[in-house]
Amino acid sequence: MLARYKPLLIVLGIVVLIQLLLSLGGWEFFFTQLIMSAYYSLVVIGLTLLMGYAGQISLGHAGFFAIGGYTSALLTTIDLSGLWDKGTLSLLSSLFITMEQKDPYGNIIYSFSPWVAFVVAILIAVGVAFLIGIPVLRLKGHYLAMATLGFGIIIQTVLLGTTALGAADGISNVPDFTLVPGIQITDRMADRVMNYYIAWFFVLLGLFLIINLLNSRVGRALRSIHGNEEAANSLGINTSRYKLYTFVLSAVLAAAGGVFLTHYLGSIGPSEAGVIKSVRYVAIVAVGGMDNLFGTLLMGNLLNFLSLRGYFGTFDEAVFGIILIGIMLFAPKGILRIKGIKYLSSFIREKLAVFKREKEK
Amino acid sequence: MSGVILNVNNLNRSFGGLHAVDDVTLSVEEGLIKSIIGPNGAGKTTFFNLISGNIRPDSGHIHFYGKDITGLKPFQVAALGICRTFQNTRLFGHMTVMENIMVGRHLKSRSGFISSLLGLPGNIREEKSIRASVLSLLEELNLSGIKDELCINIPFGLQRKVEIARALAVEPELLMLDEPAAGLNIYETTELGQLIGKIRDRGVTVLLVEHDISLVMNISDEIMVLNQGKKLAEGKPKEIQKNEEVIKVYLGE
Amino acid sequence: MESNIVLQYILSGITQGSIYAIVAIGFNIIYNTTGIINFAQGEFLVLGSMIAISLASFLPLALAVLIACLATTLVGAALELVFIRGLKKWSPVRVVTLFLLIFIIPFRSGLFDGFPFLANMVFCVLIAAPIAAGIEFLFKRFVKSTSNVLRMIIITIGISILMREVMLHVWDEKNRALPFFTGNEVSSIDIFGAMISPQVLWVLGVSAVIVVGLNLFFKFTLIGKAMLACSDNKTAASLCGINVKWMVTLSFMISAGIGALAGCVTSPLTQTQYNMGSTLAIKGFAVAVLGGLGNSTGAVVAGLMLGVLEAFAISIMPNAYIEAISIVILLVILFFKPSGLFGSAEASRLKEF
Ligand SMILES: Nc1ncnc2c1ncn2[C@@H]1O[C@H](COP(=O)(O)OP(=O)(O)O)[C@@H](O)[C@H]1O
Ligand SMILES: [Mg+2]
Repeated sequence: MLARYKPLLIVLGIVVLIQLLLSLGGWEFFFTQLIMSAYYSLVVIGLTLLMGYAGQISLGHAGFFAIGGYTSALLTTIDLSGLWDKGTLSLLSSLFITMEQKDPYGNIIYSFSPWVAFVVAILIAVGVAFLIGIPVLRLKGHYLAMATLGFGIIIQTVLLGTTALGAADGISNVPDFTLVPGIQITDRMADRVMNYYIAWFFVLLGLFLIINLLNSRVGRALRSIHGNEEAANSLGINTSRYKLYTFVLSAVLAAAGGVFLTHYLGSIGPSEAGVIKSVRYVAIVAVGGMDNLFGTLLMGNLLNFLSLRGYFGTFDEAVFGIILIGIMLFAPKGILRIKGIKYLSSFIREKLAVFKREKEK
Repeated sequence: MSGVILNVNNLNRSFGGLHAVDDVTLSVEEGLIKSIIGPNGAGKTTFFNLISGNIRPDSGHIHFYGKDITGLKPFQVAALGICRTFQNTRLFGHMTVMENIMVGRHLKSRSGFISSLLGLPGNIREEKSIRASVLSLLEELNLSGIKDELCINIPFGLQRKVEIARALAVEPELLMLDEPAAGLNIYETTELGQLIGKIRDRGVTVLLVEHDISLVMNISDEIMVLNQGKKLAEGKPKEIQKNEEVIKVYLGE
Repeated sequence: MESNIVLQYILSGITQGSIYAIVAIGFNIIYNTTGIINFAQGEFLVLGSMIAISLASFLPLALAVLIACLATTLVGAALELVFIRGLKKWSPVRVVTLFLLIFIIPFRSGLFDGFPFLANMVFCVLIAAPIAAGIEFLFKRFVKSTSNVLRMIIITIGISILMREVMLHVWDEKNRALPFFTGNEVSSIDIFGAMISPQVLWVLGVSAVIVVGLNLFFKFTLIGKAMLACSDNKTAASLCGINVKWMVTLSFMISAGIGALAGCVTSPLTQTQYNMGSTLAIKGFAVAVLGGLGNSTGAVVAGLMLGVLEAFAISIMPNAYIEAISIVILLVILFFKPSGLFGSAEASRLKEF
């Protein structure tokens, strides 16, 4: 029964190992990009569920990421003094609904607290996902791809054209996100290791939920839809409802990633909603193997990390284009299922099994 | 036992100019095996699709236990107790035999999206009971040996059987089989005949579309003959065998 | 609104709209022969005008445009051969294309900048050639050639990214423009009180020629009819001795060629930037769907409608939101009438999307 959570322990082990390695080796400057990659991988695992297991493509998930990030950024930087008087505001602050902070000019202002913003952001993402998902998921193939792409472009156009959302500059000076007193999402140098674990806590939480789902009646239904929608339907599965719920869940994960990353970096800009970002997420899911949760997690973190560190130089976009084409031409099941790598991993597994048996003797 | 389980009245469906199902009326009595035969293109599969909700009729009505189910979606029809198989097997190829049949238990379990997400204890209990019932079904149908095989990897004859097992897992009142013997060898066909008999003996009504005449004659309680979308004859196997018209268009072809 | 202003709006709308129509027709041609939506369609326009702009600095304008169109047509063919067809045997075209693509990397990233030009070139060739050969080997051995819609979508998206990045590295991110075909930026013609640039007439004229020319091509030439036959029924077409594979290649060539031409005539008006292809593509797709996917007459009508609508929208809503109009229309059409304004629902249901 607990066997299904074993991969989570392995991931946790790797995460700890990397932290120890970096801290002991004095390579702490890597943490920033690792943390960012971790938050992006929330989008990736949600999209894996949607594309790999429910079989629906989305070229607009950056839109949901941006919805999350912008909602939270707006609510936690907005000045509420015009809305309520001081007494009400300090009362609300003591209830953790609002929060007192300094604006860039040093004035004291009141804004919504990050938790409230987080909840609102998720609710908006859920609402938008339902609204857009009900009509869009009736479509298939090219139409679905273009409709979701169009959704992403609309979000970006609105962000770029709305001065209240900072237009081309986006929103900056987003405050830290105090999760519980003493633990906060922040880019302060001193809290780097803590934030690395916070980010991975959320990723593991997301994985935990998805693993539960996949191993349940609902997960089986999703995979059956991918296998043969008509047959699934005739076994009593309300296929369109499950596709919709999966779409909403993946949108929530993307939005959550957006909220956290925005508080971590302290800012968000309209490029986060761009087509390029959405396509990138799809590329990562494709290279990880579509229906391979840990494959996409690995590739997502690897590629995002390399990209964020700037290792691809001016060929950053081109790398993702090449990956898309290469994977689809040569290894549509993902890079981890290429024969050579498969042999290698089964070879290692065999050796491990032998090793285990000998130890038991 | 008695009572009509399925009532089809003046059902019509055309594709372009082609009248695929032409004013067909049919009633199926509970607990029997009723077969539909007819030459290729007679409209048998279309008739199935109309009942199971995969396509909508142009006119006519379908009643199941007296309830009008015309125009319902396939999953709604299934929820009422009608389950079907497909002429070209439609297994979930990249899931194991066991998992395929577990999907069949969907309607008999109820864990929702959120509670599945959270992995609540109730779900885990339910999952155990699904497993147990599927295992006993596999045992009964002699499929235990291949339960962990992916469906794309098992031979065709077994795929047919797994699809029937999956439909049985739904525990339908009415089981509709679309040419289940197509592509099977003689031994497999004989075994299939016995299996269908057993299913009826469990109290499940069977509506069978089949090309293999000897199988149909052996196991059916009643037969309807379709030709070019129209009902040509209906009756006991013996009567059908004697029917001049049927012999002309079908048996004698 | 005064009548000459209305006319002004309509004319600029028609100009923009005819470009959308050309992009949509490009989609349709490829869609009809293959069932693929080529996400890289917009990049053909950009590539065509980029090449023409470079050539125009030392060649007469007409010649530059002509060569640019031919070159883009060849690029269209090469892309199809390399990435879409998935040939399992040795293919010289593919090796050369791969070689050129890879050659750009060391050459433009300035890996050997310290060396004299010739040595630089030689080093780059020495790097690119074996890699291209290696990838060619991969193709020969490992390419998977089942065409499934999701895979094709992703591949053409990949192609569009690749083309965009190649253009970024060959040229740069600056806005460029071809010179005006007649007159210059300030010359204008008075049409019933509306002042328009002569280039507008060029755009309208060339678009009309493209549309009429394609119609004649599909109606009266053997090859054109063969392509139409492919779109009706591939198996039947191949039974009649039509080489379906080459028809697919040809459809990419035609789409690329007319795209390049459209890109050239609009370049003086709208300027050209390496990354404007994807916006053009989604608008073109909106128009294609609006007119009924595969229906090129519908595309022309829908293109003009969208162009005019956008032009009038400028006067009532903030400029920044204009981009979203076509997409909103696209979504609305997809939700309520995916067969488009002029397509029949029956026909679109039969097609596999
Ligand atoms: N979806 C469809 N579209 C168009 N024609 C169809 C469709 N389904 C079935 N038909 C036509 O209806 C007729 C009856 O087909 P079918 O019900 O499959 O016959 P049977 O199962 O008796 O062999 C055939 O001529 C077939 O071509
Ligand atoms: Mg049939």
